[in-house]
Amino acid sequence: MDLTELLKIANAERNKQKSIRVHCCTSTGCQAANSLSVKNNLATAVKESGLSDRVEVVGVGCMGFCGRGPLVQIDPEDTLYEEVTPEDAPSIIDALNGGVVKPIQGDSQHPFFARQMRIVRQNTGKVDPESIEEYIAVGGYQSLYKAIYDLTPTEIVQEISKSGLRGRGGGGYPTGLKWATVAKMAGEQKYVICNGDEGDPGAFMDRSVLESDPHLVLEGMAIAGYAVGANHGYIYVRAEYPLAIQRLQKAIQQAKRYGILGSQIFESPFDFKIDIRIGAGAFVCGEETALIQSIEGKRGNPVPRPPYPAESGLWKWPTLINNVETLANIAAIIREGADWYSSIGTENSKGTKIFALTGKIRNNGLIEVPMGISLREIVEEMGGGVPEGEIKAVQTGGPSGGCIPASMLDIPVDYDSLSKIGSMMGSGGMVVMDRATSMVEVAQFYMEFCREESCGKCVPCRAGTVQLDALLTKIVNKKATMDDLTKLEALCQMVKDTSLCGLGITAPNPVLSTLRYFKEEYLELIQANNLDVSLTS
Amino acid sequence: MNSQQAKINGQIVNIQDGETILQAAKRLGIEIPTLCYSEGMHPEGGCRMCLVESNQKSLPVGACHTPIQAGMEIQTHTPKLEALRRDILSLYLDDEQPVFQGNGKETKFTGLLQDYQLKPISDSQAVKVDNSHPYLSFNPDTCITCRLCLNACEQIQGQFVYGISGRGSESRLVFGAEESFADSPCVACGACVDLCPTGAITDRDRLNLTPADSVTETVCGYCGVGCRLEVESAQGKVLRINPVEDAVVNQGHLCVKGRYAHSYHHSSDRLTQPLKRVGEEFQPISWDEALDLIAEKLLTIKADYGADALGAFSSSRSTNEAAYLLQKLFRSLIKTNNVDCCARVCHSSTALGLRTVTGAGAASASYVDIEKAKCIVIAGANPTEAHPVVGARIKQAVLNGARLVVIDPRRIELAEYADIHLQLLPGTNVPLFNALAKVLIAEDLIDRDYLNERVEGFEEFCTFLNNLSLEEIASITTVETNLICEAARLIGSYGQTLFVHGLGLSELTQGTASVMTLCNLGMLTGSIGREGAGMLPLRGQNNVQGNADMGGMPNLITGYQPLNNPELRQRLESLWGGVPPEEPGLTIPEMIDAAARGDIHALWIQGEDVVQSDNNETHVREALSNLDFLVVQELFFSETCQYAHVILPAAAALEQEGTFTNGERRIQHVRPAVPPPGEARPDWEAIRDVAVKIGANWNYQNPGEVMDEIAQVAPNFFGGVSYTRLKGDGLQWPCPSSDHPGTVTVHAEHFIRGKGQLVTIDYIPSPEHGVAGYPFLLITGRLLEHYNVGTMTRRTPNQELVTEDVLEIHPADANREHIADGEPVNLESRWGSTTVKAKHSRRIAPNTLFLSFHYPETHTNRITGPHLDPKSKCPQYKAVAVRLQPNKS
Ligand SMILES: Cc1cc2nc3c(=O)[nH]c(=O)nc-3n(C[C@H](O)[C@H](O)[C@H](O)COP(=O)(O)O)c2cc1C
Ligand code: SF4
Ligand code: SF4
Ligand code: SF4
Ligand code: FES
Ligand code: FES
Repeated sequence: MDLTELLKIANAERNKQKSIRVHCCTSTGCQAANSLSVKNNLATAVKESGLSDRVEVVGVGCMGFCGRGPLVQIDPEDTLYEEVTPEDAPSIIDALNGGVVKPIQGDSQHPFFARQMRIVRQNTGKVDPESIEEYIAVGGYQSLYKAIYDLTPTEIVQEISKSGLRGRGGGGYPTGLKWATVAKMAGEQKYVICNGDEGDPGAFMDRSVLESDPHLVLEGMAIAGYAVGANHGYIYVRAEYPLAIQRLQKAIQQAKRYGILGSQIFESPFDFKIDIRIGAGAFVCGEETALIQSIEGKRGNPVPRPPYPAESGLWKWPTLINNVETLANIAAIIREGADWYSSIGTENSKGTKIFALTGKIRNNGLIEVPMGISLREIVEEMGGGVPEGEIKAVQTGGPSGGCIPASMLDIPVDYDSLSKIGSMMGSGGMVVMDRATSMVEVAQFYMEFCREESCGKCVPCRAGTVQLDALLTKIVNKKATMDDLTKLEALCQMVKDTSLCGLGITAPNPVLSTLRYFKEEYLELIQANNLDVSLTS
Repeated sequence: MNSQQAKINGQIVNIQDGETILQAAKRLGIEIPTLCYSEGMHPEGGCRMCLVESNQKSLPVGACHTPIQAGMEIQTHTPKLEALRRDILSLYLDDEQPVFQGNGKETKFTGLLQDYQLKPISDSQAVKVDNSHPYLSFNPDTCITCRLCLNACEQIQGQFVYGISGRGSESRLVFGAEESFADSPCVACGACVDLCPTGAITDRDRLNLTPADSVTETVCGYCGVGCRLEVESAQGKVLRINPVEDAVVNQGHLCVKGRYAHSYHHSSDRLTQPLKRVGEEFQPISWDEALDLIAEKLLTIKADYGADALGAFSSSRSTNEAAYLLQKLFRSLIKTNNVDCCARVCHSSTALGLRTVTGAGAASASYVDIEKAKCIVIAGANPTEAHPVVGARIKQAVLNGARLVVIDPRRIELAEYADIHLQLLPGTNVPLFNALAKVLIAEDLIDRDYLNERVEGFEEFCTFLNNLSLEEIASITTVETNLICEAARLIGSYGQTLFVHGLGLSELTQGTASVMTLCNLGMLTGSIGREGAGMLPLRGQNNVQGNADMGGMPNLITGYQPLNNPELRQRLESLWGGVPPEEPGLTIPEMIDAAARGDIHALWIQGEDVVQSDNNETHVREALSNLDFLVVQELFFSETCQYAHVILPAAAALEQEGTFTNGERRIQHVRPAVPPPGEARPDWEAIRDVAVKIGANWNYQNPGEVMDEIAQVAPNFFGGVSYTRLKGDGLQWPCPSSDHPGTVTVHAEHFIRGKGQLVTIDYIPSPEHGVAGYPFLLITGRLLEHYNVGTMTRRTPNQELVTEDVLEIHPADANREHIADGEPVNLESRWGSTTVKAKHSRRIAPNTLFLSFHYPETHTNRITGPHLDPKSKCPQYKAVAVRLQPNKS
């Protein structure tokens, strides 16, 4: 396979595609809402209405508006149908023939879509994730080709550094710097790991990328492998993502068949193979050292760093570990260049970020927005605000993050601004809360999550989260005193200062941030206890 | 502070590569509290007690796992850190869900609690204690899940007994998938016990908190690894045994035998008085009477039948000094060379083979080479059972990346860790090694410079190999050609390789040949004399090396000196006041034959149950009953004692002073931890006193004086050895002068014999191969829990761990022969038969069987036949033609 052949495949595929494509989402969210039957019925309807020569029905990845699934979109006219049932299929096809448009039609120009900027999700909802040809038809694998034939590994690393891309897995570590470290290490063996363990409650950005555009991630991994000198990659996917696993398997098979993965990629001396590892079902396995232990077949528990994986990772070899979304940015950066990428976003946060917008909000789903967009734009304009009542706070960063009060909605969404106010970007969870939500209960919800997910290796996290959870429960149940509040604050600080890995270190964050902005809610619950006491005595 | 320095509590420290903050602080004498860390193991990083403040980090860092770096300024005991430590510790003591409940014991953990003014909430009733194992117990109420035990088990023993179930606060230490200690794969090495900071895992012998009135450092009396022990005793009884923390041999580790199986010392059936045969009975007599009787009998028999009508078997369990004196007694006073040691029936082939081709009949390498080796070959040895501490070290080396080839008819435990396992037909080592050599040469995977400079016989060897066919060898050995090639390529790709072998090589009619052909591989790969490589035979018993070193052989005097060496004879004339005949004497099997024929009339057997341990038991019994006089020095009334005329009660390993020499030539000081029971005495004293009765002027006051004489008799090997130098880890011979540090790698400059010799030896099938009507080949050997004929271990709780011998049979064979798992079978060779329970096992290949020999009632050695290696006279225990059928009675 060389470039001409790649372009030939792309052309052939484009020629093969019909002029009207009926895109039906077949990702997990819509599948759960019966989108596979919708798709079948659409296909039958096309056949029965005799439109087969110009219309085709294509199963595509997630379009983002998952709260309204199953979604069907007509390409190129860009009509969107929401909450489609299998029975709606004939009339949707009928509409292509001039029939009456059903009321289930959505608004594809809604700010939810219009304000997005799609780099990672450029193909999702447009290509069939199970077809490598469709991926190639939209320019897929040309970046890998370019990387191998037009760039040296050092140039690639420089390009990534210059782009300003930072890790999307939560830590926000500069990706180029990490690549440079691994590239610099001597080692007869090196690895690239794609972290697809995505364990934050409510987060499904990575799942959606893997399900909707698996080749984009494979391409990013292969470029990374070439840049850092690794010949072997692992994708670590959580077991709860069977569809992602299945599509990745298929994608790897297809790429291997074309000589795009495996040995002598594009007939160059570069070999790169990718294996899938299925997660051990614990949140902490997403932590990089735990993940490596898990791939090695050991208990998925974190181990002390240093040494960092970049120096001594999988089987003690230098290992590059990046998040799914991070890797999904690579092909675009190589294709469009670092300057283009770094023109998007803010000073220290470049590019886009996908968020899973959930909670008390009108428009639930996945959005990809440029860094620096204000929280208010996301919540009020794209999300359409709270259905009833008023917004109280937005939680970002999941169990490691914090709650941002409504008064601060104008802050720009970027790494530094979020951490300055005591929250964090995290992996992209964004939960909107209305006035009726108790912030202490929110804090307790996340603490309970951390308590259950603590691996148990280090004592502050193992035992500290239990006590924190108990204290929060006491407060929620109006059984607490001011002493308990003091204890809570001290314990938060201790767990943060002394835990071994990110889980424990950040576990107190939701408590700390609600204490910072909503302390009166804690005090009210404690006063309620004192009232009870005075009433009964 | 310069660019190579850091500061801890204001003190400047020079950075050392790879050092952690904890280690650097320790060098400055600053103690940082720890709970989950132990030197030498990967830091767990869980307890967070070791947190310190660093100017380079905003959060405190773990001192046990953070490398110290230039420019760091560390504070270890600020009020904030001390408060954090106290807060962390109090997490274990939560009122509602206490992780730790006291058990009244003072441990490292309770010590820390005290330091931080904390107290356990409650003392647990210890209801949930797991006492299922004879030696170990576990109390979950005091377990703080620090995982030190788990790490010790994985990183020291390599046994993977423990697991963690559950997450977070629910996480608990568990025995893998098993319910209890007893069901777990624990091999009772005790490594975890020593590290548990709370005493949740305890030795059951440690539950007895009797304080020791004395603590003695000595050497284990079991296998040839030679672990150093620290024996705690009170009122003359052994309380408990710990490993010596910094011993080079065992590095703070022990095995189930060395650590726990010591109660035989105080067994009620120890021999405590000299006994004399009166008719069929034995009567107690005084030592004086016994000594007189022995002296008189030896002299009369010599007078009646000549010196060569007498003989002695020295024991590989006794000390160097006793072995030396026994051969000296027979050589210088009786004037016969009929002295041999029980190494004859184990590693005589190794000693002879190695000596022939290299010039030294011992390991060229040392145990430290295990960690240095990149590639290890194990041939005919099962180290994790027979030499557990070395086995654990090999396993760790492999887990840490060393490559491993196992050559053994059984799928031994280490075969599961091996890159390649060549499961050959018993007794076919020689052709297999030749085939490996052929591939190494054919594919030019050899060290040509080494061969040119240091080895002779290469041309001839190549010609010889040219005539061998790999296909033919594949069919003889039952190992596929491509597997042989693969193994050779793996070895060849590393070149220098550590060759570890055991009795599976030596106890064959081609025993010496097996050892020498293995040495061929050692030379082709340029391994012998190099660090991390070379020959490392695993010697069976504690002092089997020493016994041969001391001259417990009919053809060689102390230090492997030929009898006819004129210089030596001169030296002996002045040191001994008499020289032995120049003609070599008889080996043990030859003496047994001679006794059966009536040519030998008197034997002195030191600490060896020949009836049970020597091959062809029926014949041995006949021979012994033929004797006019038999002296036995023993701990217990063994099978052999039945044939004795005088029995001398002997001191056991922990009851005497002397030296043992381990399998890596290391002479270590043995010290008495407890007194012998009753009138039992060390072997060397009894021999000295008999000599005096015979009229010699031996006036050694202590074994140290015997060693001084040994140094003079064999200056090349032991000239620099004396008790004053045997502190700590002792000395590895050769140690020719008092300023010589001992030798880790023999043949480092050149082979002791000048040039190494490649040998051209072809396969000769043993008389046990292809015997019509006997379709199986039987291998005999040891199990972890027992030691040889079990005299010692059967008198300890090890008995509860393994209660009987087993016959391993491949399930396919068992099904064909209609033998159920656990069913008794009649096992029959051409030489004898016995009944034993069959155990289905895939450790053994089809058409081969394995039988242990720890129980007298098994009579394993009724089965083994009369065949000897013609050179070493070592019997063939490792391949016997047998047949079997279900025992229907
Ligand atoms: C408790 C915990 C869970 C984590 N889970 C994930 C995860 O699910 N996915 C992920 O990409 N990173 C996760 N991380 C972050 C990883 O450790 C690591 O920083 C990341 O994979 C690096 O990739 P990036 O630089 O591309 O972000 C987690 C970290 C912690 C402490
Ligand atoms: S902080 Fe929590 S999750 Fe991380 S190592 Fe410690 S116990 Fe495990
Ligand atoms: S005694 Fe040894 S084998 Fe048994 S659990 Fe402890 S460390 Fe593991
Ligand atoms: S048994 Fe002891 S060493 Fe093992 S985890 Fe519990 S406290 Fe730690
Ligand atoms: S799953 Fe169908 S739109 Fe997201
Ligand atoms: S001793 Fe360092 S974390 Fe336990």
